[in-house]
Amino acid sequence: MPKSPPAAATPTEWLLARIAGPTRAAAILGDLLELSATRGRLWFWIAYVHTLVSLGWRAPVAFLCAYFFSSWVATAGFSTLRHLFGFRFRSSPGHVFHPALHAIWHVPMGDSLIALWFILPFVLVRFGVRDRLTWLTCALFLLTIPFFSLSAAGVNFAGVVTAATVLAALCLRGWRRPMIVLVATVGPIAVAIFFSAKVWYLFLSRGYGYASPQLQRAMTLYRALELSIAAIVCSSLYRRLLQMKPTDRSTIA
Amino acid sequence: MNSERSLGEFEQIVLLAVLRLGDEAYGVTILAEIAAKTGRNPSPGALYTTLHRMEDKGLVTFRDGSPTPERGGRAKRFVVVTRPGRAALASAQTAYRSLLDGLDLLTPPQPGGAHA
Repeated sequence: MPKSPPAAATPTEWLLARIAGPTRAAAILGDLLELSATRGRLWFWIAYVHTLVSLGWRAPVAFLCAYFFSSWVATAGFSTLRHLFGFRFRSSPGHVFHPALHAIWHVPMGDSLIALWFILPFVLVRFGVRDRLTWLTCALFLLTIPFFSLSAAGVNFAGVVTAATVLAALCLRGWRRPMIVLVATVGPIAVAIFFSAKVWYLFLSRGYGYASPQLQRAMTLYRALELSIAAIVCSSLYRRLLQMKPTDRSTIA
Repeated sequence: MNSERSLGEFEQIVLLAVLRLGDEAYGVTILAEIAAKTGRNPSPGALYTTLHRMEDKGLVTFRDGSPTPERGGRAKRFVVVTRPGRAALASAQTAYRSLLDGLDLLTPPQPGGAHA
């Protein structure tokens, strides 16, 4: 077969490659060009846009869902929980295992568990309900809801369940990688939630009120930034650890 | 990750088309084969989404062809069904066959008669 010189990447191919990867994008565009010879230019553009949307809708929609869900949690979510479950929120959980354990037990765990509220809608839309990462996130999310009662029993129960689930998943072959992805995704959000108090403090110390537009804008940007970092970490680790590598020749039927 | 994977209807159609085409299965020929055998005209977007999902699941793999002028110098990517892909398809088809067993769907119903 005579070989043609490799095609230079066009803007259409560049855009498709952002979603599908360079190899897949080149092949898809080649197929569309080949088909457009008989179906016409208009068909090419319709098929191109449809392909872009089909392959790329999940990431932006997942991000938007996570963003709006996290906004809801930050505003109305906790009061809804209180009404639903009769939780009595306090500023401190009080009697956890030991007062000295408060800083290493309650604060990081609280931030990590709140992070699950942001990650769950993201993975649900991004990877679908049949994905193990979604199952794991969903299970931890449900099991750790008692934490938000901020009672000693709720906090301790959530802590023990979280620790047991993480350890069990890391020991099981099929669940180890999804758990690594989940822990790595929770990390940046938990750190960002921890430092969000500093952002509030910074603005309040400069005389801005809780409801000031400047503070609200800063928090909106802050939340978008933390979710962007988490989405990038989650998607890139998922691609590396959970998606099948190019198949070994021995598995070809 | 699952040893036993369930396949959607369109995934089965694509896998069967790829198996029928053998070494010549790539985007254009798969679309043509599906249209010829099922009367459906799936969009390229639907086909690529399904193929990429199945590649991620390890059900199919790809083999690069040579670049050609009618494709703007871009190479074809031929689709190859893997062993797990063949096993998943066989499992799905076995389930269909056992459900169809005893039913006669291809014979047109007699006027006034009961359906099979």
